[in-house]
Amino acid sequence: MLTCKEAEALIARRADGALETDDGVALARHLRECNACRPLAEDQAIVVRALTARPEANVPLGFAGRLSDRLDAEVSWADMLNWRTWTVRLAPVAAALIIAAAATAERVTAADPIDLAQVAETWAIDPELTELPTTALFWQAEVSADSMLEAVLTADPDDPLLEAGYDQ
Amino acid sequence: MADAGTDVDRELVEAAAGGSREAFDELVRRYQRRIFNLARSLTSNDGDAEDLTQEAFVRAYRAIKKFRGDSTFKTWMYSVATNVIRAHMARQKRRGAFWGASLDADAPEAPERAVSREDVEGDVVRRDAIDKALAALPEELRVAVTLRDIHGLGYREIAELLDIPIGTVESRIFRARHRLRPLLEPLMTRTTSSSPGASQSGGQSSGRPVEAKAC
Ligand SMILES: [Zn+2]
Repeated sequence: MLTCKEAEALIARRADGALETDDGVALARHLRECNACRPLAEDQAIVVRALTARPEANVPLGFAGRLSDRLDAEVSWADMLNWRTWTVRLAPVAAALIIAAAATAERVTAADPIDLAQVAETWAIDPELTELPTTALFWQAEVSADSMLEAVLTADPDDPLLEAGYDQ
Repeated sequence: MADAGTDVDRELVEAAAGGSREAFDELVRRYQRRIFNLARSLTSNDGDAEDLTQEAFVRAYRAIKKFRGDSTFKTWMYSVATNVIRAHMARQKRRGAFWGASLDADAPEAPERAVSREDVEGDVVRRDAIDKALAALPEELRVAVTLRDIHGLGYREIAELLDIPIGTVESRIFRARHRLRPLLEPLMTRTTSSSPGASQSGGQSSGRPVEAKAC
């Protein structure tokens, strides 16, 4: 014979039609003999009927357009986050800054040529490296825009589908 | 629960994961009503419900490439939405705890206020009555019973989605309904009297307050 506590799960399932046949037999026997559980079973069924009859709300007018705008913004953010594009665009600026900094720091004269190859080397990433931190992806030669975006979006150690500090 | 092989959305999901915005828009069309109603019944607030529905779809859009098909898209979408909504409810609760109980979204309303007899008129009022009764439940009970009884998700599906044992799902649903029974009383009475043909196996128990279990 089931205990009342054990019967609860079966009562819940019977009320919404999710009870296995074997369990149904055991529960029926319990309900015949237990005056406390019978009304509980009736109440469960009544609540199920009320909830399943909840009238659905319509999605607010203009919802699709507002969502579409947000998804469009996601796409352009993805472009913005493609740092490879940025690094390529900013390369001449960076080079100029390096040269200016080197010139100031070492007081080079016009006659001393700057070794641009050496400068470039200091900015390059060792291709043998296999385990790179997230930030290193930005400088990796063969990173795709997708993995870049994924790295940015999933930088949080928690499940990205959880809150992830995204609080707006 | 259905595996990926029987996922009616599979083709659209694959196209969306491959970058098709049209495919994703179609998935939105298929699920926006369900997700909006999930948010509405869990928050009792139209404005919050729209914001949360949008947020859920934005997150799904970002993450769809990582959707592995271990579950159906429907279960996955419900999971994304439920996480977004629960995070929102947790923030509301923290805010309420900080500013005082008056702002606490989980503060149980008196049953008389949650559903009053003369209010029970028409779809909007009936929906509101149910959502307000749900709002009087602790969050964990509210989420479980909403997913089961309003959205029709299976017990196993809910267990996976909430990452809890199936026995816990059964227990939460049982307790949620037990607490809802008196809160929905005016709605029951109305439903019973306005539809005399409806079969009511437990009709005689209408109007009887739920008592504590005796065994
Ligand atoms: Zn019993």
